[in-house]
Amino acid sequence: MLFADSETQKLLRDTARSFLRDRYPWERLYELERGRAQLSASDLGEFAGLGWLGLTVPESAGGAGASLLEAAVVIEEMGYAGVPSPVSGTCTAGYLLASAEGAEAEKHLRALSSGSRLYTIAESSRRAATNGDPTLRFDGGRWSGKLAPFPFGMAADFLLAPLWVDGTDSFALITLEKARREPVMVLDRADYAQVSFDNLPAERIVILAEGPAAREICERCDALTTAFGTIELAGLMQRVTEMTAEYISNRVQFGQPIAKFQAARHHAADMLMQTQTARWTAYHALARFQADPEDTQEIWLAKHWAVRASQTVFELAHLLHGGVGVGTEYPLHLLTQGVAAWAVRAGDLNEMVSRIDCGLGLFESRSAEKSVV
Amino acid sequence: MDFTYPREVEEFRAEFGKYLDSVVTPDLLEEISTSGAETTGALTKAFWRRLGADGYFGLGWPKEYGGGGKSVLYLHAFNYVMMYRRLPVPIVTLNTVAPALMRVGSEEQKKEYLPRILRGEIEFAIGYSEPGAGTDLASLETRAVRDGDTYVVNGQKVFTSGAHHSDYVWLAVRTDPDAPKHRGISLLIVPLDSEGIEVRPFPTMGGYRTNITFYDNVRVPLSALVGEENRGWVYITTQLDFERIAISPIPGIERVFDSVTNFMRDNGHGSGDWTRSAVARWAAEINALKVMDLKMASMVANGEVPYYEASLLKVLSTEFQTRFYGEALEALGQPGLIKRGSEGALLQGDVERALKSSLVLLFGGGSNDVQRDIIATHGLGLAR
Repeated sequence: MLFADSETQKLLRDTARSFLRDRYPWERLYELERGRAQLSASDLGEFAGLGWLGLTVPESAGGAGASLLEAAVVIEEMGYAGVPSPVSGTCTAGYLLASAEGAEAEKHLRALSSGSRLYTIAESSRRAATNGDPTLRFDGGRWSGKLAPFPFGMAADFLLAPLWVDGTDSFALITLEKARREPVMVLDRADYAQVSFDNLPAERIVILAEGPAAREICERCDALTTAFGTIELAGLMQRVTEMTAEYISNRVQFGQPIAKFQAARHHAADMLMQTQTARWTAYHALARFQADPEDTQEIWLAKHWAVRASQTVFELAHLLHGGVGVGTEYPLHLLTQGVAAWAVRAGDLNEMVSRIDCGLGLFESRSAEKSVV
Repeated sequence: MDFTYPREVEEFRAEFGKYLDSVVTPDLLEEISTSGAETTGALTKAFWRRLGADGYFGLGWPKEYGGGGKSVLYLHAFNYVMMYRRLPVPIVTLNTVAPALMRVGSEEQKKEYLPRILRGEIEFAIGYSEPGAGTDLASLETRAVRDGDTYVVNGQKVFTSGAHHSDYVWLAVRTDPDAPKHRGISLLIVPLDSEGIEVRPFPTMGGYRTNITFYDNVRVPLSALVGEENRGWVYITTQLDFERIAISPIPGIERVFDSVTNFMRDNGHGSGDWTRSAVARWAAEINALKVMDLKMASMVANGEVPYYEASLLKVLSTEFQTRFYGEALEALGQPGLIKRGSEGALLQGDVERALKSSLVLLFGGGSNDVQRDIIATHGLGLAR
């Protein structure tokens, strides 16, 4: 047992840290945040060139053949850099598609790894459908329906989506080419879209699994999305904590840096305690999932912790930064908005509580109830 | 021990609500929600003049200044109703500038400004903070130098909120650089259309615009001085006590709580296990804040000046507020993250925006760490 980066992880981290610092200065992130720009084909090409889009895809299918723990390092660095990144989505998609067999799956894995096509995950479509309505209907050989907004909705070519189709749990690969897309601005990002289908031909949506098989993939999709999301959140929290420590070390009031005041020091220490704990529990949970994909309980525990930890980091960062921190021409908000949004995204506290209680054998699982509908 | 609002204040509150129902138009609400504090629009200005003409701005003012001479509880009820409905109030003009002018302004200043404030015709911005003087406000460096019958002002202010649509700035300047830092500060009333003033936008999270203001050889007559020269620090700190009561986030918190719980009731959205316990906790916390808020109002009504008590409520309410809005987003789930204007935004994106806007109060009106010092020193008598 060694709570430290492996050699491969170190290499990935160093590369990611310096690449993202060079390519995504704050000015670039402001443009992305305000929706004045989107990640371009050349950005995706660079990510693909570094092997990041297909980190979890086997080498035999054109990927990097990395472990989930290795992929997590790049995802954490995306959070640290504040880049609204498609990597956690493509790594989840790659992992799930790699478990499917056949030439069709391999074709998608190659396109995903090379960056020639962008894949994303609509994890929230099933999670958001709290009232039990199907997200899509299949009628007369055609698809209709509306998905909850998902990241890279305007740019993506393919979407992997856990869905309820006519009341049945399904896992689908959707071609987005002919879909109707409306951009949606969310708290921290401008790359979401709402996608709807109106009489889409049958072949545009491939149901990869149904019923119990789909439930298993959906569970893995949810678990991995939550684990990667928590790690991206930890990356954001780490950067926010470092920026705050730097700010209070340089900000002079009453003739000294405010870092000399005990109250400020204690707040900064609280931020670090919350951040490090969120980070290590998320990695630990992911390691267990990597060893056994049915071992998901710690993922829910880690996210539950991270949500509450993130609220402390969010609040204290702004308390310590004062007025400058809320200015939209100062970079802190790029990161704290991400902290606030990731606390909700990829599994909110209601879902975590329900899953944790169910895992402890205490109460019926809400998601289990729903999948019976 | 009497805990009730006097009956006549309750009646006033109900009447005022009805009055607002009759004067607040959908167009005004639309202007308020879309302007995002970018500017005070024409309808808002007209609304303020109407409130002024109908006597609402002067409720608690002494009769000698044209006010209603009512107890501060009326003012409390007025602020609460306005803020709960998210109707803008020229808050610093009414709660900071006007009371200070009544206490220490010259007769000429009282005559010139108070009637127009009362009628809702003029608005002031506050020019206190500077790039190097935030929490440590007394180290401010903007200078005012006497030159014949004028002061010449040079310097820079930050967070001059409202400067882009106000008529005057209530400006803290250093008039004696050789005195100890708390003893060389004065207050000036400076028209914002004076030559040499530049107002630059400083946009913030949540869409609220504040400003950076620059003063380059701005000349104002000596009569612009408020009270005595070099006594400004005393005036500023006394006013901050009033400001701390006036900028309470509690009405806004209650509005969001009501709209979130109504949404849950209407949409069967509140059945999540975590939400059930969170909603009960929010309700308990909001109840505690409201009781403490009433205690504060009651102190002022009885002629006491809340000091550490105001700090206590400021810390509790502002920290709860930020936490609450974040938790409300958890309860709403991912659709709560969608911003106003995008399809699918819940409650017009109010909670998302409220979370971002709430951050300012963690340090605005005096950083919460300083408030905790005040509570320790004055509430518990701890040695500094």
